[in-house]
Amino acid sequence: MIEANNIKISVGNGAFTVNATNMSINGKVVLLGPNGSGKTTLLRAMSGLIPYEGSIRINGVDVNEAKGLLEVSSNLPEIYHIAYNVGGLLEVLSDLKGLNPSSFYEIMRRLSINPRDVLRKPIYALSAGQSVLTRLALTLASNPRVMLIDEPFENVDPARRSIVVSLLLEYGDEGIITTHELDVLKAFKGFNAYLMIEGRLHGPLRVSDLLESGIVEGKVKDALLTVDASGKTYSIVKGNGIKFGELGSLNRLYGVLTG
Amino acid sequence: MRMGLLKYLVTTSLRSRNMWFWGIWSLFWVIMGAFLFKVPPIYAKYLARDYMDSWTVFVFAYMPSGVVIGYMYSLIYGTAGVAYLRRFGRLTPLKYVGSYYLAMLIVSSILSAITYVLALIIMYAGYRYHGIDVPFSSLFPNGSLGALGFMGAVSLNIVFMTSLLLTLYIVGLRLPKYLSRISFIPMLLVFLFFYLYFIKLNKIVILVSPITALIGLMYSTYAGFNGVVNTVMLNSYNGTLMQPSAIVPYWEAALTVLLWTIALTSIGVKIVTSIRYAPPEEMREF
Repeated sequence: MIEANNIKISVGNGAFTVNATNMSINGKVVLLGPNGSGKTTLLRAMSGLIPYEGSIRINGVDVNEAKGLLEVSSNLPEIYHIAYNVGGLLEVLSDLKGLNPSSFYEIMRRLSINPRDVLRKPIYALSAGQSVLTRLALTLASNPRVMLIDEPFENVDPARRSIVVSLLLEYGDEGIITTHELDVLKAFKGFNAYLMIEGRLHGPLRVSDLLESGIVEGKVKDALLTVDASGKTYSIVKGNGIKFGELGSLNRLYGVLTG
Repeated sequence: MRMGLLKYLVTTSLRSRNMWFWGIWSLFWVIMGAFLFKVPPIYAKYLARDYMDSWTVFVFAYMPSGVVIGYMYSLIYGTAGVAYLRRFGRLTPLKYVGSYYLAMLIVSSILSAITYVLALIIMYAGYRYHGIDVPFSSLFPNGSLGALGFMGAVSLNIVFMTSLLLTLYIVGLRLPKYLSRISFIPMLLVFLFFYLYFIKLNKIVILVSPITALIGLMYSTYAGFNGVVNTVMLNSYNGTLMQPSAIVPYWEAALTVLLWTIALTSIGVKIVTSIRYAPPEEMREF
């Protein structure tokens, strides 16, 4: 279980803040939001990488106090700078994260990547898509119970996206999957979704409800959710407005709202 | 107990061209000592070992300070991994710091052994080049006890340099924009303290300054003095010789270094528990 209460995360000397008043996750959820909305910042705090105010607890353990909580795994890119190349990461994470190399090879093969092609490659030399997929394989190969997955579909070709979806459904019991890609949401219909807009967390609501909903300006009675963006209030309502399922990417949200 | 981090550090270091560069580059000073400078021929018979010693000691003091540079960058790039793996992995401060100590010790020892063999050959070739006939064995440490003491002093130097690395890592995290300069501090200190040994030092300097104590330990054990001496360099350039005399017992100099190492390591271990992600991009100055 992931619980976050009264979180405030400041980055860039306070130039940007992320606020989450209440978040209680039991199972897997999707965290949606446009680029720069604060999804990754929240995941960084949950992964213990950056300081935060408030409380984040994973399976009852405060992230600031956590030690040796092997069941939690994240794919955040900065974590994987601890080694220079993929082979080195395999070596280090086998020791320090309980990663199973056989599982890594198997996941890579499922993603149609020959592990031998990447093992000797420095992390920076991987293509954008290869980097996302390799980090995902390294994350899942430790067989985590709790996953903190950041943008697993970014730069991944459509054929492999369905494999990524299968892996995310298959691995882990709980966790957060962040994305701004709405076209993959159908695969996660059974999940709850949170929305991160301009550093503020909203939700949860069911992904299936979200896909059937639209966004309209103003405060609407019986709205599933009300959000503030660019100084205006918007409501997510069933049946009306600009459909989420038709946006493709949440990056279009601001354009649609202000257009 | 798995040693994945240690194995990774050692194997990648030994494959790193930069590491080999620092090893081979340090021979530059031996080449200078062998071919550009020389022991006055009338003293060569008596001072071949001391002359070899004074140049070799510089190499052994200098090389780990070059290895430190590579490890410094490895540490700085790994901050996120450390913060994460301490919470969600098996990384402990002791394991982290211990892996870096052992890796430094293994890598620097391998480089030192190879460099030493090459230094012997170069120095011997230098004598031949100058037409001075000395036995090859006269370049070796003074007896098996001297060799053992010298190896101990070299190991102590590597361990101390690692503790210095950890301390500078903390400084580097606070002042990322100055990292490239900070990582060269050990090398600058070696230069400074080695050349300080050109003058006759008093006991206090050796006991207070760990790098001076280390240079003294390495030099004195190799030559077979009965304690750490007050000057190391045979100033053969202008033909005058400074006669070293032992002024500090070995155990006192070694204790000085150990205390410094423990103090610096304690700071390093403590800081590992509070490491947060520091983007390497912060190292950019503009």
